[in-house]
Amino acid sequence: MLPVEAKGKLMADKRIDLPQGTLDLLILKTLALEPQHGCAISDRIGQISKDVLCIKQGSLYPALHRIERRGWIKAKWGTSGNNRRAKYYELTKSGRKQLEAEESAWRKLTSAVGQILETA
Amino acid sequence: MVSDFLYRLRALFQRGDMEAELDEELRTHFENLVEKYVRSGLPREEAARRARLEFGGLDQVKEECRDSWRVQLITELVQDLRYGLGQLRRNPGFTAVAVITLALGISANTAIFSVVSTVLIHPLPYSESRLSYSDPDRLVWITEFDSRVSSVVGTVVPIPDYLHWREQNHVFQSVAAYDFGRLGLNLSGNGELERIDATGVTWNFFPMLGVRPALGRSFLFEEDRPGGPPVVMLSHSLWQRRFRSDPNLVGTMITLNEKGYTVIGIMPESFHFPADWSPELFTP
Repeated sequence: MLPVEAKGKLMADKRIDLPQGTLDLLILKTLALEPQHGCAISDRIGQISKDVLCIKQGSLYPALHRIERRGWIKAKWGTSGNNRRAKYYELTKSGRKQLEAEESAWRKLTSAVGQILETA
Repeated sequence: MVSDFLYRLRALFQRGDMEAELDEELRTHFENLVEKYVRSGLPREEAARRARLEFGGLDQVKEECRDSWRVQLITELVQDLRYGLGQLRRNPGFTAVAVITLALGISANTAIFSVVSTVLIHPLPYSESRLSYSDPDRLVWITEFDSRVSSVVGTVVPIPDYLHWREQNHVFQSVAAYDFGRLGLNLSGNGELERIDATGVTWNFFPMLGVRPALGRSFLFEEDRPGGPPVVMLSHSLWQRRFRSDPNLVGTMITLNEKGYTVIGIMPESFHFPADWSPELFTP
């Protein structure tokens, strides 16, 4: 019990807050590879970022529903690895376009911010 | 645009389904979390507690999801309206065509409906409950039919035929007739000379329709014969226009074609002559 608690604290220290709008980009990118259900999306983001980014359910699901409403992803029910019914999200055509646009905008932004941090 | 519209429709009309799906989606995630903790060596109860903690209030998560579907009526309505108006302003040609189409459609509908309403839906306006036999459903128009040529002979019945019909009638409670032709009478005295549309009716015409005069009385049987006393009934409009609604007019003489007639009655304002024109004078 104790070790886990300690790990939790450690995790909390590592985590950083996501800038506004970044969550959508992360979700779209995660879904670009293959359709996923909500749980797998947050696991995947945590995994790849080495637990620096932890998407809370409280922000993940509203974001998924919002993106679905925009038509960038669509949901369908399937069976997950442990044989459970799960709602899978899949990138749509317009979602793929949106991902490209957001990705390039993000790269421009970070490189610009990075440049300023290094030179100014 | 389209996907958003469909989504909103679904949020409005299939709310129950969406709720159930959300519930299942979140529950699955929750159970996955519990399993993850169990696999990492926690007892099931502690794993569930931890998962609940991480979830941070299931109801709150649901509420936030609902916010993202919520059709925000006022704000979105205003946005949609503004967008729509902007589109209309940008395409004046389209707007004009749409407006004209609507205007034509609505006016054609209104015109047709007003005809249908008076002709088909509303009963004939002759139903004074005071007279038991004036049920408009039992009012019929009689004409002659020639079986040899399978057609209506004419709309006019000669007076002798009418008299025969009336005498030999066993089917109808009453058979009445009015003059087919428009009769013009010159009303003089009491102002300018004026030509008035008049028609002759049989004495039982008004009682059969269940119409009672607003003032005075209807024609009597003995007035309805050649050489009978010169009596006349006035329409409400003529009475109002020419005689300024004089309540003492009944019983006085008026001059028609330089002959004196006694006014015996005034029709009620609601009376509508059962033809496509409106006589203002009635004689037997």
